[in-house]
Amino acid sequence: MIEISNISKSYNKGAVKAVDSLDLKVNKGEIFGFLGPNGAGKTTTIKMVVGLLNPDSGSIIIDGTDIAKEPLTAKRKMGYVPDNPNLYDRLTGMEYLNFMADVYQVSADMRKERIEHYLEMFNLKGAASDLIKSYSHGMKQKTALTGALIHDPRVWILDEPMVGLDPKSAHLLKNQMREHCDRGNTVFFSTHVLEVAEKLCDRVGIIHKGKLIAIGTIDELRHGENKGSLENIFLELTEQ
Amino acid sequence: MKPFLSFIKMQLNVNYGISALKYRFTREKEKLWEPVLVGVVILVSLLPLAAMYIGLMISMFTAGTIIGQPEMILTVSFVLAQLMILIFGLFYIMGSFYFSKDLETFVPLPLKPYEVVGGKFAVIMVNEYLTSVPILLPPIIIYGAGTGQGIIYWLKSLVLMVVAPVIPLSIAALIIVLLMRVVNLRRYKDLLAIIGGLFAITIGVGSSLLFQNVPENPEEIQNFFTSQTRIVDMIGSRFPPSIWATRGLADVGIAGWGYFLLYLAASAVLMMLLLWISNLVFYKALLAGQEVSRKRNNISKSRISRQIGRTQSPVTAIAKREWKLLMRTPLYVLNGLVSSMLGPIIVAMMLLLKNEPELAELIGSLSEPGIVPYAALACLGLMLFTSGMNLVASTALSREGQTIWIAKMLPVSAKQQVAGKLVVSYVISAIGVLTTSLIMLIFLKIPILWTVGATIVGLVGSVPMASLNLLLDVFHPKLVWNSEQEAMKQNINGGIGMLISLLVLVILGGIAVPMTIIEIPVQMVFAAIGAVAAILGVLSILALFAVAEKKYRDIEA
Repeated sequence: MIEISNISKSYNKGAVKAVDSLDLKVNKGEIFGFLGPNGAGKTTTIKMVVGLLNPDSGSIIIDGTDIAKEPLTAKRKMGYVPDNPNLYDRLTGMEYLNFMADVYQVSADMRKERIEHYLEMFNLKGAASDLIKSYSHGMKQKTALTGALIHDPRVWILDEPMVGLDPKSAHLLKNQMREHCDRGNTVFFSTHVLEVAEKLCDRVGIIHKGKLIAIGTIDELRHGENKGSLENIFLELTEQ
Repeated sequence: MKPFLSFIKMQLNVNYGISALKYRFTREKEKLWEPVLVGVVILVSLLPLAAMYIGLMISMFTAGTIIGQPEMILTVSFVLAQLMILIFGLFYIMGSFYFSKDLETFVPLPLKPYEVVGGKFAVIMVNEYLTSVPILLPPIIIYGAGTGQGIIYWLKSLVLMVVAPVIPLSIAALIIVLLMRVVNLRRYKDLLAIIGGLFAITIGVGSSLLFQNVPENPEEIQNFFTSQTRIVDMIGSRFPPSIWATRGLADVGIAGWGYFLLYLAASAVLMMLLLWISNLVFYKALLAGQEVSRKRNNISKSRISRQIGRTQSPVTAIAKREWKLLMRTPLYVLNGLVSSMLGPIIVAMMLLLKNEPELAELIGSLSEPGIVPYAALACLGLMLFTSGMNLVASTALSREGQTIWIAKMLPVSAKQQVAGKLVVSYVISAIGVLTTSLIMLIFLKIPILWTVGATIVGLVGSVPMASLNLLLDVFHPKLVWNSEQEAMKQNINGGIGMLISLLVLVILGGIAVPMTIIEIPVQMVFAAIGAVAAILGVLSILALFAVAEKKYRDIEA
């Protein structure tokens, strides 16, 4: 579903290599957790996957579509939520969702069903008519999630989706991620919370200093040289 | 004291982007032209005003010398500077003390309220030098050189210029701090922004009307100022510090030093009073303002369904979003809609206020058959000028700021996205054109057929202006900003965009003028302008779409 081939990205005219020749494949029906310390290159990678940053080299294929060659088709296939979503403060939540439904050309019936479903799930019904600038971080996060999923994309790409969510919403989102993948779709998300990755992900990848240093199921990672919890594995790998 | 000083240092650093400038000078040398160009544009555009002010001050000094009061210009300039600082200070203080985003960071720090107030006060004071120094410096130099003052005068005036903002700004701050303790104005933030903006516009228009009323020949100037002396004295006596500053500079010996020290002491006392009162009440009002209760009731399913709209085209959706964001942001309304209508409204006001018989005669003659076509042509010029003088198109992409990631993520081509923006920018310009048409009809009494003709050509001519302005912003957007002010008013694209609009105006005028001189019928001139504007419009839209496709791809969010 997501094929990342040999992508690199550097800043300051090559002085800082944020992502270095990264290869990664995320399969159909898979929840993939993308882990790494602060500044490892997680967000840079995700931003390249969704087309917010242009890679210096390499290619990214989303569900068979090259994001560089056919960006609009690729964007229709995915839904993305950044770690700190800045939304239009002076629109109401509902206006934002209607706007997203319009640009993704979601039919009136479908948008009604999905908006009602997510507002109910995230307990946002009472706030939908308020301006987004009055929302808390978590409410913005939930609104951004609803907007990103309104066209029922096959690939979900979420940067730190649990940050700012209350336990109930986080739990419901995790269930949704599982259900989405069980229907043959894909979720690619980054997280710092290793317990979440351990429980939820089919496979995880660990990025460190711009390079992918480990990839596999939790069991596969355990069977190598490293034993113990994901936390131990993570600490050992990233201390090198 | 050390935390206080480091707080002030940090505040100045953040507000003037000193670290960011250092970074730019050392790392991003290729972008150095930007601040330099901004500086040059500002200086050049202020030159005529400065020349006018200096001329006025010299006349006043001459008049003052004749009536034996050469120091009058010092009083006038101190009154003027302090009044401006007081008025603008009210708004600066309100914004910086109660509305700025950084307050949430400072309140939990182990700083005393007076330290936070002091730090913020220091920043505003430095800001106010931009107002006070240009007002004070010319008269101080004119008086000093004109009366042959010695070194003591120059040193004292330097000190007084540095201290000048303290008294009016402390008064402004005391008013705001005490007012905020009683009423929570934070709820009316948007309203205050509009009032502030309209106030600034009124001052601008008012001062230009005032300059118009200054007589032109030297004798009349003298009489004018002699008759105004009483007013100056009156204002001075209401605001004695300006008299103390004048006497402190103009009087010799002990009297001079006495007034000088009195001024400094008054500044110190007011400043201390402000810090003392702030220490007592600042946090109380600030924190009280943050306790906003919000009751979010779960709304019924049927109400939600009603709010869920029908499917619209992406371009319509983007245009509607742009319109809502524009009209819900007071600053954008002021610099977009209001400034687009302002030109014709000012013209109307001047026509109404300048009650001179010659003018009435002139207006009367505009509706004479021989003159009408030329009057309509001139009005077309005003229409196009008005339509090019708003900042909506030239900041359309910049305004997206940190939400640009959404634009990048949308499955909507760059062409469609800029088309949505162009529609909104064009509507704002068109409102300017239509306002001018109304003025043509109502005040200038131009026949309706000519008005309609000029309006149509004006509406066509607005197309290249709006699309070239938008093209400029798409080519070089300013996406990193912390306040709407920075996105629109402190955006270099705004100034360059106006120059581009003027260029279009010059091109269209370049067609009209020679055609008129060789006496080609004005109807033909209108047709020619319309045709060229239409061609320019099509070309600029095509260029806009082409540039947008490439630039949207290059923008990294």
